[in-house]
Amino acid sequence: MIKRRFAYQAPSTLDEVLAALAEHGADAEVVGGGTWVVPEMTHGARMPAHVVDLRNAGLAGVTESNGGLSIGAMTTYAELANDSRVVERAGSLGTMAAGITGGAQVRYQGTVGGSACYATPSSDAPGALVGLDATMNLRSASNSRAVAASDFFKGAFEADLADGEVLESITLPAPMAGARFGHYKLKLVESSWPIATATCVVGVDGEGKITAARLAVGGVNTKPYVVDTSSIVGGPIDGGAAAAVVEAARSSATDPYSDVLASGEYRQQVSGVVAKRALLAAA
Amino acid sequence: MLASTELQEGRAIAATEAPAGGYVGARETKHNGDLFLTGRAAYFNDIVLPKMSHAAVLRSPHAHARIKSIDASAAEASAGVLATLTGAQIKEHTGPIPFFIDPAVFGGKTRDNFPLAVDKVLMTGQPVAAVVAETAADAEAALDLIKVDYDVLEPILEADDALKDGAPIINDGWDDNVVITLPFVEGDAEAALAEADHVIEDTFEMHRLSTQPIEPRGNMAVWEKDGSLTFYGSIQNPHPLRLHLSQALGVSESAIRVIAPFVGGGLGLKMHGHPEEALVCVLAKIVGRPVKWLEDRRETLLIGGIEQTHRFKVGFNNDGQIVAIHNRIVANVGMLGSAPGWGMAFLSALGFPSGYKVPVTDVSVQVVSTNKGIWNATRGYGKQGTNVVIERMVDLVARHLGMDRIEVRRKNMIEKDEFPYATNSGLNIDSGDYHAALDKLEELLDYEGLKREQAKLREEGRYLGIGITFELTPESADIPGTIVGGFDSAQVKMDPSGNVTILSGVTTPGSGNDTGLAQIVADEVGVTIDRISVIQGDTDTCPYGFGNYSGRSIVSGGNSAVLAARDIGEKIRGGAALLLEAGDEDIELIDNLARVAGAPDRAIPIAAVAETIYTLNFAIPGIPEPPLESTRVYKPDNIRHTPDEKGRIQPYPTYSYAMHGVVVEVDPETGAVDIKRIGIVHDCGTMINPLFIEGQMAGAMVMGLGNGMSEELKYDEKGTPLSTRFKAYLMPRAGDVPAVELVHQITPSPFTLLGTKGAGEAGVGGGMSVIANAVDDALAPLGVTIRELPVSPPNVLKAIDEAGSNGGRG
Repeated sequence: MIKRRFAYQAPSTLDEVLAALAEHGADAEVVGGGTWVVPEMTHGARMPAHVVDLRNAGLAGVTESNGGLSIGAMTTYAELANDSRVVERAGSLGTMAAGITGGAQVRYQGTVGGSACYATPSSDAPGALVGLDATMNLRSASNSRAVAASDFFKGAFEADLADGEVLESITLPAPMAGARFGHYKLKLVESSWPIATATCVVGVDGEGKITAARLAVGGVNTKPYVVDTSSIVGGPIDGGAAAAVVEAARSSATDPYSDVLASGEYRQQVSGVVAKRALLAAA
Repeated sequence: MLASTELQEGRAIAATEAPAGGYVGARETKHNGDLFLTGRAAYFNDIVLPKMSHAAVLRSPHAHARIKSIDASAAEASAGVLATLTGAQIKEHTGPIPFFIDPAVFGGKTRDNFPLAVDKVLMTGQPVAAVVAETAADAEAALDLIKVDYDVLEPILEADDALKDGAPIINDGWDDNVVITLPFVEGDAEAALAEADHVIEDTFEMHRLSTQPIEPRGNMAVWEKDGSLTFYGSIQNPHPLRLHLSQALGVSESAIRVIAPFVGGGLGLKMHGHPEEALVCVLAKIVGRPVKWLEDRRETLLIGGIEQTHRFKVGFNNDGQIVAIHNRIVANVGMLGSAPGWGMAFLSALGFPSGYKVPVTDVSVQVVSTNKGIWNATRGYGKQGTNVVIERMVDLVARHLGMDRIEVRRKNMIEKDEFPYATNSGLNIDSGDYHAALDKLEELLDYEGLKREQAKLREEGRYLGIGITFELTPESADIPGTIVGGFDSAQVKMDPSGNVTILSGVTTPGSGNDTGLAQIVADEVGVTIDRISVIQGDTDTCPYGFGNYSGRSIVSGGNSAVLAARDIGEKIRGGAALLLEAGDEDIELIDNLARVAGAPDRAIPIAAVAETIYTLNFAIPGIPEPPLESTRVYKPDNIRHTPDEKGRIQPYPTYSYAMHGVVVEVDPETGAVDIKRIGIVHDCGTMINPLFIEGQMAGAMVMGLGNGMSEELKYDEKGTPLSTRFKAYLMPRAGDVPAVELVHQITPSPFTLLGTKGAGEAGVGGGMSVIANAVDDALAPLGVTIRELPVSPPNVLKAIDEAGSNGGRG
């Protein structure tokens, strides 16, 4: 039950959203799909005086952009999972979206943008967006700016998002030539938050050699990190590359996140495993 | 198209004749299932009374503290608030909450638990104040305005810390933190261990669990104009609660009516003794309006159970014969609450050595109070403690000797011709054929084939594990001097239109014993099940009974319904014999007809006989007397309360059992456990309805697997609960478990009327023990021994590391 009474509005344009946020500042909470904020309000962890709901502000949908994709902040997991362009140009994001559990309500209600804004270490979106080298497009009443996903996530539950600012869209760059995608998620059981995730994009040439690679690990550190993959470029996606990735992923797991489900130590231990499995999934 | 009256009454529909062979044993669907499917079954929170108000409870944020003062004045003035109440005022309104099972009955320590803490809090979440308001949200909001000044004390969270010399004593007036120590000794364990060919000494730790029905608890009280009290609750035991409310509130039992509507899962959590039961009664009196309190999931998750450590030695010979068990159990029951949870520790010790013939046993349990949350009953009621540890012992023996674990079990299990079998702790196991069940499980799983597959996969670096465990479930207990009763009652009434109403002293937590009662009565009085209504959970209408726990509903409630229904059947036969000019013994009752056996055209509707008995009783000499009503009690045999020469009693009439086999694959890089197959052979004696038994078994097994794999109530070092929601207290979902493959074996109990044994709890302990053994078996090549539950991925990885392997993580 939400014990504090609050004022609710669902403006029909982004400008109205931004005006409302400018007016209420820190007293306002932005609701996207609501799958994070509403339970937080139910638990009394957030007790905003004003709730600004983005549902009518026209921020949903996937569009093509410079060979990549632009994903509206209100695009649901279900839309991502069912969009063939996402599968082709950002396959790991599609895999991530399709792997969201919690039932149809969550998949059809929850948004990748909302998940990103709350920067929960043990959630799917942050690692997946950093892995795809996404750009977060932010707006406020007075300003607009674009922030790289790897800079946007500043720490556990901490995003580069000011009061009055809202995520408008996420831009994904055009994939590298011969791109293959891999995504792996480790959970304790079906009902658990993700414990560790890994997303990779690998460019592979006609001979099966890696031309470029980007691999990010989520859930292990307090924020997603990019794994050094320079040593695997030029070779195939094989056991040797996997071993190199294990080592590189573990050596960067230096700021582990710990919560009720898993210790930082456990997350460090499995960081290499999830990285390896994401890479092999791209093979 | 269904007739609307049938839907409204929630009766079985469209039954025109009984199944061939009768209702008992048939796979009948729930007789009132349409109510549930169409969302019209009234649960607690569906009950809305005129002028109803809402309570919220302020809970201590500290695990151990003295309350210096409470100021509720700001809350009193908050929007919508009708009243506040603090611990300082509570004694003016109620006495202490009576214990469901008082440790003092067994010579242990006790305490006075009031609905609100009077001067000291012993757990985070203990109620300290309450607010009543027009809406639940207003009440919740007002809680934030109550100022409590605490003198915070160091919490003691772990049982071993509470047992240390010089440990602070958390209960005022106690001389240590031990509630009670219960020894169960047969023979000289030290001598037997010294003589054994081998002795293994080890430990096993079971972490704190909870039990989480989909519907949380809820209570509502209304004081009627005549001064009587009506209490509505999502509860398991209406009549016993009436007694305890009467004792706490000083109100005559006859002036209290307790009503339990449909319950969305009980699982032991809804056995009473919780603070909020008497609390809503007090608050309702203060505000002069009905007061409702509905539990929040965070509150449900404050209540724990099971947490216990076993430090054991098991002695055995070269041939696999187990000759002695020495086991010291320490159970952390948290704050000693008045709910029956602590008693689970009693059973964890009492159950040794399960269904094995171990000649010498020295088992004791120390029940320790700490500043963790109270225990309440969790389905299985402590039997899982026995089950997990003895089954670990058997596997340790097998591994040590290089014997197959099935052979070790065959060697040690009670033989079928040895029943009834008196165990070392004084139990008297009624009947069974454990070896046949083991044979059936081997066949079901293709055990030899599985072992070959396991060997092949191990060569590929894959870790398949086969868990095999036996589970004994003593059921339908009667504990002398408590309101844990082994008998129960039923009233069966037939009205002049030939419809039958069953009023039962047992309640259903949503499991289907109501349909079972209808099946039993349908066969006895010869009506189809659509003509039967079942009423449970109302102390003003139902005969006295103990409600739901301990797999007792059919053993005690079902058999009492048989007796009452036979009385009605006899009168119908008498009336029909008169009307059909036949002998009583020639009349058979079936498909709503009374007919002369062997003469199908000589028949009369049962409804006509009933109507005749009610309307022509003076006109027809010799016709049976109205009303067609009978109330009967059934007391199962085999319970013995006269202590034997060792002071032992025998509280259980029946002992169901099951043989479990689970196949898992363990990911050695992450510790993740993937369950591939679940096979069970189950024997609960005569089955009234296999469909419900299968549902209960599947549910219990999945609950046990969740308990064993992922569920754990965790605390931080200050005693603050961390597992506060279902994203932190991880229960299984459909994707975590494969379908259950269940085989029935039936050995009727010689000690119950229909031969039924308790059903519904078996599987919980089995799920926990079998997953422990399966993971242990999977990782045996890495030298792993499983010594704790849950076998969550982090714990499994830790066990792999402790065995000196890194599971190939690189």
